[in-house]
Amino acid sequence: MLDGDLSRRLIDAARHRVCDHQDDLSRLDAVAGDGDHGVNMATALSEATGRIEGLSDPTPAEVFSTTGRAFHDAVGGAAGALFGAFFGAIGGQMNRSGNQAAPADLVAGMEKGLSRVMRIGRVEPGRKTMVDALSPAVGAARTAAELEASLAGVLQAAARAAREGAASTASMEPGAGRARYAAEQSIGTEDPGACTVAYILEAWSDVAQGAHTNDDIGMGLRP
Amino acid sequence: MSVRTRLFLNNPADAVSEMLEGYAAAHSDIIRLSDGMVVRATPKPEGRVGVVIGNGSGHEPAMIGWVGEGLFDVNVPGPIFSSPGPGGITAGIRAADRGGGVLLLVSSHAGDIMNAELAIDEADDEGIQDVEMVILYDDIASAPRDRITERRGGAGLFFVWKMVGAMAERGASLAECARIARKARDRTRSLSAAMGTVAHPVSGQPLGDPDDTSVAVGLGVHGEAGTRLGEDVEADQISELMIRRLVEDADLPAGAQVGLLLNNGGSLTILELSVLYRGARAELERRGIQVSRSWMGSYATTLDMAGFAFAICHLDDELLALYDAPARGAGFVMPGTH
Repeated sequence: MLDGDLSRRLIDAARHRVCDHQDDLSRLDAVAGDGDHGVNMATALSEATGRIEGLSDPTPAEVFSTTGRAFHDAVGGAAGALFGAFFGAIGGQMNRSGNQAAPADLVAGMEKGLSRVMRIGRVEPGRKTMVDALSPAVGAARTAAELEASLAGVLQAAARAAREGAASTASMEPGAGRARYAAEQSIGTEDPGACTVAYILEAWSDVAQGAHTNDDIGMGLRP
Repeated sequence: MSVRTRLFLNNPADAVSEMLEGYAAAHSDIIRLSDGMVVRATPKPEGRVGVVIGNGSGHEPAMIGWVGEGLFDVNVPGPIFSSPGPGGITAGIRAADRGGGVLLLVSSHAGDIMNAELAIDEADDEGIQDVEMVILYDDIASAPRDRITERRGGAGLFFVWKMVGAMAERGASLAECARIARKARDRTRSLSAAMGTVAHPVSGQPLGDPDDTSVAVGLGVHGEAGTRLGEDVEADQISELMIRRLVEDADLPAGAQVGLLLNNGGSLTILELSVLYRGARAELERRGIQVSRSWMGSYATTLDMAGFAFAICHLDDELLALYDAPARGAGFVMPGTH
C-alpha cells in the first residue's frame, strides 16, 4: 500500500534521480529546445520536496497535489504545465484513498494524468514528447495492476516501459512542442521530457522494490 | 565563433528576480514590482480594459519594458525562456482587472498557451469572468500559410502590443480590443536570422550547435533552428531575401503602406542594423511598398544572440492612428515617421 510517508519518499527519490541527471537532460534539450529542461525539472522537484517537508503528516493526495503545484509555480513553461498536470491528477485521484492508497489507485491517477497531459499539450503518442514514455508506462502499469501485482511490480513494469518508450523517441520526428521547429536536428536524440518520465518512474520503482524487500524482512523477523 | 558562456551575474538562479528589482528601480516613474509582476506605477483609470501578458525572461525589453501608459498594465515574467505558471498568470489577470474586463495576450509558444489556458480556468474559478485570451503569431518560418494558426509569435507582435495598448487606453470595450489584436496580428509577418547561438545562463548549455557559424534564416526566439545560408552571404542579400519572403507571404500589393520593424536579437551593432535596414527599405521601395513608420532597435531579444528579425505590418487608417497614439514604457520608443 502507498501511504503518505512512502509517497514522500517517491517524490524525494525522483528529485535525487533527476538532479543526478540534470546535465544530461539539459544537453538533450539543447539540441532542439532551449537547454534548460534538466535544470527546470530539478528545480521543480526540489521545490516540491521543500514544500512537502513543511506539511505535517501528509496524505498521499497532499504529497502529489503539492508536487503538481510546485511544477506550476516553480518552472512554468510547457514542461511545468504538463508535469504539474500529471502529478496534480494523481493527487486528485488519491483524494479518495485516505492515507492508504492501493496500487490500482496510483495507476488510476497516472491514467488520469496521462489523459490531461495529452489534452493540455494537444499531443498523441508518436510525436516525440513525454507522452511516448508516459503512455506505454501507464499501459504496462495498468496490465500489472490488473494481474494484482504489488506496488513494486506495478512500478517496475511502468519504469521498464517508460525507458523503452523514451529510447524509441530518438528515431522519431517531432510533431509537437518547440522541437518541431528543429525537426532535422532532433532526429537521433531522445526527447528530454520522455527521459524525465523514465528517470522518475525508475526512481519510484527502486523505492518500491526497497520498500517491498524491507516489508518482507520485517515480516520475516517478526515473532 | 565562440559562445559567451559567462555573464555579469551573481548566482544565475537569482538572475531574473535581481533583473526585475534593478529594472523597476531604474524606471520607478513608469513601473513597479508587485509579487514578482511588473505593473504600472500609475494604474489605468477604473472601468477600462486591462491588458496583460506572461512571457519567459531573457527577451528584454520584452515585455518588462512595455508596461506603462498606452501599453500593458501587467507583465508576468517567467523563468528564462519559460512561460510563467498558471498561478502567476492568474495573479496577473487579477492585478490587471480595472472593472472593464481583461485581455490576456499570448505569443504563440506551446508553454505560453498551456499555462494561459490553465490560468483562464483558475480565474474563472475565482469568479473573474470577463477575461478574453487572444493567441498571436507572426513568424512565417514556423509553419506554412495554410497552417497559419500553428505559427509562433515573433518580433512583429510589437505592432500588436502597441495597437491593442492604445485601444485599451482609449476606453474601448474588451471585444473591440480583442478585435484589434486579431486584426493587427493578421496583417503582421516576421522572419528572423542569426549566426551562432547563445548559452542558457542557468544551465550553461548553448542553444543549438555552437560550432555552426553560418547564417540561418527562420530561427525561433529560443534558438530553434532555421535554414542555413552559409557564411559568405552579404547583408543586402539577406535583407532582400527576407523582405521578399515577408511580402509574398502577406500578399502585399504595390502601393501598400507598412510599418517596418528591424529587431535586434541581442548583440548586433547599430552599424549592422543600419546596413540591414537600408537593404530592406530599398527592397520594399523597389516593390512599390510605402514604408511610413519604422522601428529599429531592441524589442524581443534572446540574451546576446547575434541575430535580428524583420517584421512588417500592413497599416490602414485605423491601425495607423493606434500606432501613432502616445505611449510610455521603459523600453518603448515612438516609431520614426516617413
